[in-house]
Amino acid sequence: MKNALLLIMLFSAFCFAQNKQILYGFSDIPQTLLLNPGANVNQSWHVGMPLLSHLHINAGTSKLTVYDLFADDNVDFNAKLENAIYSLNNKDFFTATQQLEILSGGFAFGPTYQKDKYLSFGWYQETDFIAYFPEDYAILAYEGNVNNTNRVFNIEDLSFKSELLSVFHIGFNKKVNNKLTYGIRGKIYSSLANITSTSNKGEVITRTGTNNLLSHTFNLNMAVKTSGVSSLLNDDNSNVSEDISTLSERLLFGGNLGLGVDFGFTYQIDKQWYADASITDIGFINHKKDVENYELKGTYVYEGVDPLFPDPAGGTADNYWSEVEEDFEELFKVDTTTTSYTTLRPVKFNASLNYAFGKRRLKSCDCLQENNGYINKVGAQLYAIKRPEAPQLALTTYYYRRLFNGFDAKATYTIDSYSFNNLGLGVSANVYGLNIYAMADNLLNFKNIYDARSVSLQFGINYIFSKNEN
Amino acid sequence: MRKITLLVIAMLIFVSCTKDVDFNQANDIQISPAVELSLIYTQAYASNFLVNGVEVATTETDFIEVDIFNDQFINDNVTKVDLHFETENTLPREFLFNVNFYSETGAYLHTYSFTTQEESPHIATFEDNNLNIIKNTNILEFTITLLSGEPLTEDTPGSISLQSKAIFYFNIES
Repeated sequence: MKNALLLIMLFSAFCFAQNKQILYGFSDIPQTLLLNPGANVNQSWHVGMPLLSHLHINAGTSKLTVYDLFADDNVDFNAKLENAIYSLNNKDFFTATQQLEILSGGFAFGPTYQKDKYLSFGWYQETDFIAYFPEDYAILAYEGNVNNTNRVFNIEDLSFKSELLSVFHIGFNKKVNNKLTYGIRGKIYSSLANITSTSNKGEVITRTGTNNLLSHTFNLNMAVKTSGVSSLLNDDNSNVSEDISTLSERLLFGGNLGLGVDFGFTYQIDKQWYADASITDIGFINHKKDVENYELKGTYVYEGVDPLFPDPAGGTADNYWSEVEEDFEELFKVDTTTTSYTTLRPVKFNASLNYAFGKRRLKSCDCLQENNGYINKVGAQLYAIKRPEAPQLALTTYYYRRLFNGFDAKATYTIDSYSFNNLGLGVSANVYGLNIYAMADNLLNFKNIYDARSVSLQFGINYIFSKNEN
Repeated sequence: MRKITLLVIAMLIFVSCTKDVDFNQANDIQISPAVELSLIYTQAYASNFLVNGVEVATTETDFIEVDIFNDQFINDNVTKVDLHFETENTLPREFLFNVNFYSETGAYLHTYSFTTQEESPHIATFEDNNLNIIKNTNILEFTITLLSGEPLTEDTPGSISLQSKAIFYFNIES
């Protein structure tokens, strides 16, 4: 028990975003194939309602909530700000993810007596943002360097990444036998806009000097890489709607292109137990169009100038001072380059162990084709995502129940460093082939959404033809 | 009926609420960092004041043009500037230091003086009305003057050193 608790603590030290713990394994919904291309498929074909088949919004903060800072509570804002600055560290982050499926569909194929293969495809748009709290920058700006002699201010603390992309994908799913189903999905990414600054290095230190009271060391190696952004900023118009139309032209292969792949499987251990796992978005994007990178590189140690008895003698003090000023200008000069660069997609890993139980007694039920007719499932899911500074993990336990024919619900409890009390609920309703689903987590925080450390919402409408209706 | 109840509860949960937040509080933001920066330093021995072994120069002077005091950000947000000088004298003579402040056009603004007879550090504080002196300063002139006494020779041991820094106190409001 103690070990389990330790394990949970360890998991909570990392964090999660983009987690779709409610949708994962929700086999009534075709979009679960995007989380695991090797998930069990129950339908013979599906078509997503264009633009409405999958909407996902997620925002998270690992520690500070909007309410912590902006609550209308008569507490001095600067006191709250100070509290925020000193409670956050460089491992804390803010994330936002949004996905919108534009088109999607799929169909089963194979021998007529046993259509054991499923082809699914689609096109979706995604926005992904993560920024870590730049702790040392914040402290330096808030306190200054007085009383911080010898403190190392890390340039590395600045780390953020933002991407707007569209993804075309086609996936193949095969039920090998009653035990094993596997799947693979290929993806073409078209990055509309990207801003990446995740490999900053160096430090700024104020030390006690040898010639003078203080010695200032600047060791800077910083870069912000952008693609698809400079053409929007440097165009003649300041009209946002024109920028949006420029962006939407890139949706269809018009951006910087990349490739990716997803793998997954489901394994039926016995009648009631099954396990599954997937790894998604193993891929890269090569940014070479519309690239503009900003680089700041240099090392400089400054102690001051000697105006009276300069060494070497001869020059005037003002010459030495001008040299110092030029050195500083050189140090802080930003170089602009157009060198192409490659970004890796955030690889995601999902795995679950599940147990189905409780057969429905009603004879009118036609849901027997799935899970041997069990209407309850419980399980544990593990989620991990690779992020610039450290992987983020989440552990979910869930209870799934077919409430009545065509109406399923899944309740989840997730542990992550956002919170220990993340309850989620998802429902999926099928009426005459029309499938509507909605999911949300952090329900306990819905009484005050501003105090939630993360909010995740998913919604979608599909048209699904079940196998038994064929 | 139980199912309907469950459904209603589920729907209710999906309706979220908010408590009062006031984003205008961001306008009250006020931070007050203090930044210190090395300024000038010097170290001189008896020989520095001799020509052909005889003490001649009683005053050394030079100036620097400083843009930093005219920086718009500093001008807008600085509330106080301390110029902090430390002297250490092991020569058997005393020294007078003058720091003269001039504007961009060369107009004289202010002088800060201290001698090695006074206890180090020597701190010139500029705030309130005085602060404008710093804000208008473009040229800083430094002079070191030997005060009268026993003449220095090549063999006079010791040195006079001066070290300094500027401390800027900011109050940055949105």
